[in-house]
Amino acid sequence: MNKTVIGMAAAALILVIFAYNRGGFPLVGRGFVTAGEKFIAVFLILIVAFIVAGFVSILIPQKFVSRWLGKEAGWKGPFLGSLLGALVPGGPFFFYPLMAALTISGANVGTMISFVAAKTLWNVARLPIEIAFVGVELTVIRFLITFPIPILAGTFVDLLLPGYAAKIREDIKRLQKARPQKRGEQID
Amino acid sequence: MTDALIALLFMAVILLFFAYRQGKITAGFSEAARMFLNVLPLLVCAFIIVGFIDLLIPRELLQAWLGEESGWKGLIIGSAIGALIQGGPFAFFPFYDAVFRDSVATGTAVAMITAWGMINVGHLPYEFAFLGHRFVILKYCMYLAVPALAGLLANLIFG
Repeated sequence: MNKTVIGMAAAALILVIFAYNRGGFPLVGRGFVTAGEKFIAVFLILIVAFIVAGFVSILIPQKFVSRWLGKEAGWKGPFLGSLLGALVPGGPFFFYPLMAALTISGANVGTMISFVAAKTLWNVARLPIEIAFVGVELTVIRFLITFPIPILAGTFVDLLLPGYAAKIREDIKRLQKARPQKRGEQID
Repeated sequence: MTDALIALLFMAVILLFFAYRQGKITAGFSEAARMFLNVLPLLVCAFIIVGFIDLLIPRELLQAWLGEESGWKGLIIGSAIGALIQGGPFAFFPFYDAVFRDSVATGTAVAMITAWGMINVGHLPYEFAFLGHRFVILKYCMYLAVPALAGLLANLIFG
């Protein structure tokens, strides 16, 4: 928690200073208003998203996740992760916490790499909007060309980077359970 | 946004049903609240960052950058613009339609749309907050070049 909060607060501060240099307090004020509007716009969805993520994390048994999305899934992990990414709705404030919850329940990091690519490349809720504004032809071209990426990327991570994936899993656990873990408490 | 809310509410109802049958309603809500409170400081920072990026990178500037470029320059600038444009599909696609649809090459369009989804800078605060810096490094190492390559492929095959 701590380090990440400091890093992000610093990034926010840099942007605020940058805005102040460009347009003084009025521009800084507008930045905060824009941020507030975005927050209000997604507030309701955010609450529901956290309820879903919370219940997913207590209801879906670890066995289930590790069978379908973890080590036991083998080559099917990235494939199923991609499929999940294609089906799950919602913006980044929802699917990143979901990815964290699934990883803690036993999903492979490679599978999550597949998930995050498929969430943007294959997502069934997004394709109709893309077709509506971009056109059928270009959407089909875009879809066909990027189709293999989620599966290939996840498989690559699972096969070639298991050590790094283990470190990422530790990072995620640390971020989620920042407080209880402080005294070297065992995770689960 | 409304679609996503309806879909999430639907998921929540199903989950609540199963939780009720297992007597885990309270546990579910307290887990949700714990997760929410844990990331609240990060979320506040995330929204400030996203809000200011939106404000500091005006849309007119993006169009000026791309100009009439095609070829490899178009692929790279197209990717960069895609990665910088903020907002969900209901913001991005209408914007693409209004600003770029009639003027860009096939490959540039593919690069831009792919980059908007895969390497969007607006996702970075969330990625840092929930998945940590090593995940961010891995994801961007793997996916940074993908939009431009996808665009190149589109130009070669369909251009």
